Amino acid sequence: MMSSLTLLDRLMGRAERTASGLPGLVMRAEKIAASLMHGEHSKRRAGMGEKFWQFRPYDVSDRPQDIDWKQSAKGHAEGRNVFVREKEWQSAQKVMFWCSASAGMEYSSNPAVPTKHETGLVICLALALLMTRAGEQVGALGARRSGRSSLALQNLAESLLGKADFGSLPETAALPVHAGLVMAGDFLSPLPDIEACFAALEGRTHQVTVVHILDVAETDLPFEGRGLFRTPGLPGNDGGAVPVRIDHIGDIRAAYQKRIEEHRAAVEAMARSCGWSYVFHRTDRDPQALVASLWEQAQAAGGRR
Amino acid sequence: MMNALFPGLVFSTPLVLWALAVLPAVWFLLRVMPPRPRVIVLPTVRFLEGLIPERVSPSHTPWWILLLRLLMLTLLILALAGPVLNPGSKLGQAQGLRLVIDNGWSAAPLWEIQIREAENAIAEAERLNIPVLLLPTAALSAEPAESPRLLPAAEARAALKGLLPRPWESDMTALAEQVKILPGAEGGYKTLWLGDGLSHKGIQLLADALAQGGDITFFHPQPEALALTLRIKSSLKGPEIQVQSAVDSGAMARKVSVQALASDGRVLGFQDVDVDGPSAAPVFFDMPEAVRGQVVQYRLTALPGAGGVFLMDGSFQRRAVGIVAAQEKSENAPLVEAGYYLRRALEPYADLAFGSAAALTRKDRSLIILPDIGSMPLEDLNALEDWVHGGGLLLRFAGPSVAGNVANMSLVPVPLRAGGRALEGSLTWETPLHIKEFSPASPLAGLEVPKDVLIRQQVLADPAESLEGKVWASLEDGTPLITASPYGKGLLVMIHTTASADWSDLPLSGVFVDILRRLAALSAAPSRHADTKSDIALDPLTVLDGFGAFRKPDASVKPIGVADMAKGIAVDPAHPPGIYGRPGLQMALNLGERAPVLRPAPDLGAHVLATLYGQTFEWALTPMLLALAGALALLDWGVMIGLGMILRWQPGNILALLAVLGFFAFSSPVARAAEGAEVAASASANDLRYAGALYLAYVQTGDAALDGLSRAGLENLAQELTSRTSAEPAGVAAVDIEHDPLAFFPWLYWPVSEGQKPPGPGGLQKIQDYLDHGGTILFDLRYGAGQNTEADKALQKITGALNIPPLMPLPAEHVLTRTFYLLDSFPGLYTTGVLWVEKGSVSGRDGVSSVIIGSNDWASAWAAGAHQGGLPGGSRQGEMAIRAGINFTMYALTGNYKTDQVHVPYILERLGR
Repeated sequence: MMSSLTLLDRLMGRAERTASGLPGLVMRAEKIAASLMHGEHSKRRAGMGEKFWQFRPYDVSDRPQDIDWKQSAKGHAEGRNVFVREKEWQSAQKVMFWCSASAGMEYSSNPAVPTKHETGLVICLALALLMTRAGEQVGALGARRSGRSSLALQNLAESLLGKADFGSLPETAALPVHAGLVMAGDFLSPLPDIEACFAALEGRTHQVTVVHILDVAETDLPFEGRGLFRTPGLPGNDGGAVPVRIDHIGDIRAAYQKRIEEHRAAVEAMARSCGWSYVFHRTDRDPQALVASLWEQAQAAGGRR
Repeated sequence: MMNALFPGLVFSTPLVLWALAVLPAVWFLLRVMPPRPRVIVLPTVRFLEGLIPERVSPSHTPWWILLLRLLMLTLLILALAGPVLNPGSKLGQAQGLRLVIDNGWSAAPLWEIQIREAENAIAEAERLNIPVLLLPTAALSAEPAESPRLLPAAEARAALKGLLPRPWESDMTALAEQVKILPGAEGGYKTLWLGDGLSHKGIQLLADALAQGGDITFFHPQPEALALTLRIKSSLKGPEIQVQSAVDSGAMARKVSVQALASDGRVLGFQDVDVDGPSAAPVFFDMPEAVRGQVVQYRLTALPGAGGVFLMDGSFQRRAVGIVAAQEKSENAPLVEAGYYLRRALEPYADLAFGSAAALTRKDRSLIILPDIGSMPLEDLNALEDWVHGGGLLLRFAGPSVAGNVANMSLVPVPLRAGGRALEGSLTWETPLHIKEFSPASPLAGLEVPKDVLIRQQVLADPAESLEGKVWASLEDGTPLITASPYGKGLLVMIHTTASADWSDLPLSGVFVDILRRLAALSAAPSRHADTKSDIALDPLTVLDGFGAFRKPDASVKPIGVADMAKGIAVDPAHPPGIYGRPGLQMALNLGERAPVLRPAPDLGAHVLATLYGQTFEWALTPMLLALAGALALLDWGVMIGLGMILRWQPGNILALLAVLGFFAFSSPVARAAEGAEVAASASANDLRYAGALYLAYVQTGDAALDGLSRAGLENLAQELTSRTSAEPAGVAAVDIEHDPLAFFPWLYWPVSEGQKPPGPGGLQKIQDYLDHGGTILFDLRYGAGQNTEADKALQKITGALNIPPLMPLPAEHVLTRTFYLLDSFPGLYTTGVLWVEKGSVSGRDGVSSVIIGSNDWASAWAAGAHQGGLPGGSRQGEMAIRAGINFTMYALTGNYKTDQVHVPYILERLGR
């Protein structure tokens, strides 16, 4: 009785925190997105779309209902006959987002620095915002719905925030074939696991962006003296990692940094070998620059298509 | 032993200092003992596995922890060595110390200084290992004290702790005799005399006797610390306050304040007095007579001591006056009752009692008033006669019943003529007369003769008898209006007209009050008590201690005879100052009145070295060093606990750590006081909030779901009120019926739950108060129509002990149905419950029923909201429930305002439209 009550309380608390955290995250994502949205990001080609692109003289292949009668009447004076209103061509692609929510993602070495999970969410949401404005459909990996409205964005944010049982690697089967995927996480799992995951994804899509996020303490190990290192989260919940005691942390720092860097490089190499884009982000840096470069890449990729 | 490095620093046990030699060893040990590893949380622990540092030795303790611990140890060793800064060398090469301590009442203001000086001297005696002889100058109690003896320093210190200033005068003659035979008389002793700066009986004798034994140092205080006496004389203007000082301070007048305190310790008055010499200017308290009557003591503030307390006894107190009347208040027509005029005139100055004459004589009244009583039962008459004969003052008023009974009238100052005399009427030629004068020989002399008072009817004194000396006031034609004559030890006074306004204007005038006051004052002439039975002993009731605080008298305090008290018995150990008395008679023995005139201590001769207190003080450093070492130990412990926190250097954690340390470092009473203040502050903040705006309130039942429902319901109701009416509640308050003040809320919503505990006696008292002073409670039984015995029982349990007027089902035209909306029912969750209100309208409550009892479960309906539906009757029922709630609130707020509205057409008609 008692325990179920406390569990309920905790769940409620988490839900409230989630709900209250959402507007802040969305706002940050909006800010980043706004700084990148200079003017229209249209394809600048005539095509299927909502927006007006240009007037063009009528051709026999045009449908009669596309004739713009007003413009035709105006143009009559200039000797032209009939004009057709052409709309801009807008392509829509489905992009799925995944942000790791493992216990380690909630880590932050300094209260002034956001946690890895928070950073990942902000990056995902900012990208999603930019993409919806460019007309793409976005959705959370595993969520049923995707779309381009602000509601879809809201759904995305909520399912990214609300799901507590995300593993440290995405469930590959949940990805629709040929949809884009943005993966944010710390990718600290053993390399074989990551490799298996990436291989499974490779069969389904080519449009994958790996956002590798680490805390500064994880890359640099800025501790001194004696320390007993334990993994975050409840004991036994994280692969049963045993605490490690180090007497002179300063002595092993270089070796540790080398190991971490090797791991990171291995992840990057795997991503690149699949033909995906890979970016590395440290939580103490500004995510804006990262989002900007990602957006550039996406634009370039879109332009190529 | 002195050392060269710090002159004035001495260690009492310097051998302990050798322990400092072990510090290096401790340093080494501490250095190799590593601190506990701190826990670091890191997601990448997996990558640390198998990494082995090159160095194998454990890491060192940080240097600052090492330093902290060494410092702690050093302080501990130093503290144990017993360092003393600036040790006094008052004792020199003496073989013993004689400590003379003035401990009479006049030592109270400087007692702490005396004790500190004495403790210093004893501490030095302990170091020098010489014995101490304690010689208090005032007797410790009424019992003969045992002769002082030499004590080791430690015992002397304990004896000093038991010493307190006594509430009587020091008498040094006996001590001077004792000193001559005590050890030290033959010389080789050092004498420290901790005086109070005043001259006492035998001071020179004592000085001479002490001088035989060696050097004397006589300590005396600054003039500001000298004791003062307070004495009060009664004068026509009221108590006259005199503060007396021993020294003529000249231009630098000492400022002290005198407080007038009531029996419950309230400060009734406060007056600054400039004391500039032995005869200070009298000071009066400017306070109304009614307030002055409550003063039981005057007290010099900020100057402890029995001499600065003046207790007021019967001679200053309110008179006890009895009025022979059937009852105290007449319900029907007070203005024709004599008792009413007497009560209004005397109430501020006297304690009044009403009853039969016999009963009043037993109640120890000093003045009994008979308003127009012609004849009375023989038993009453006898009792009254005995009482007057024994010294009472009987005041009679004339009137129709006196006029008809003059034949066999006794207890009147002059014989009366039957019938009375009417000065105004259709059958008389005479006109009403003014008062001519108050006899200069009478106690009424000097009262202003009122020009506008007319006497229309009176009872005449028989002119056959001689009225010589018996007339206190007469009319313009010479007929007596007030007569008096002694009777036994008492006095009979007659006013030949009524005490009501029937026969004259006198009771309507101010002079009536003055006459009664003069008579009341006259009634308690001390002589009446003093010479009744001179052998009466007054038992001590409460006495003062040396600091002027009250205490219960113990067996050593002896009773005082009335005659002795009047003659001026001195304050001595058997008779400390205080209140002495027996039932009915209390007299104060005040030190200020009885102490001899204060004089400063004289020059005691060439062999006495006079010095001021506080010139040299030695300072034992041990407690301070121990405290410092303790603080460091706490810091060290805190660092061990919070090492991880400190190293991460987060301000929040540091603050928490400091708070923990602060909690231990500062004494817990401070914290507790602060806590108390916080609680009080929060309570008063709540009160302030509720008092400042309109709050809807519900009674907490202890059932969380029900309370939540009540809150939600009232919050909705408050919102609706705000949007629809000009009543804009600031919020909803949950009320704990036992503890929270209720006075701020116009009405309370009380959902009755079966499980609710009925309020305790305190709670019931509060509810009754609330209802009696205009509050309204809406009891909601929450079961709809029909019967629910459980809920009814619960309601009975709550209201059973309350005084609630009879109730009736709500009549159709009740004002509740039209205070805001015109309603014919008050639906809640249910619609069929009957609403009960008080039967008839109670005057003084503006027609608002104190309780409204219903069973429609309104809170649920309000909580559901007007527009959401969810009620059996749909949104319309919700709307009606909200309307009912608005009507309840408006009813509680505006009362019968709406019933008055029915008169509007008539008022408009009268205004001529």
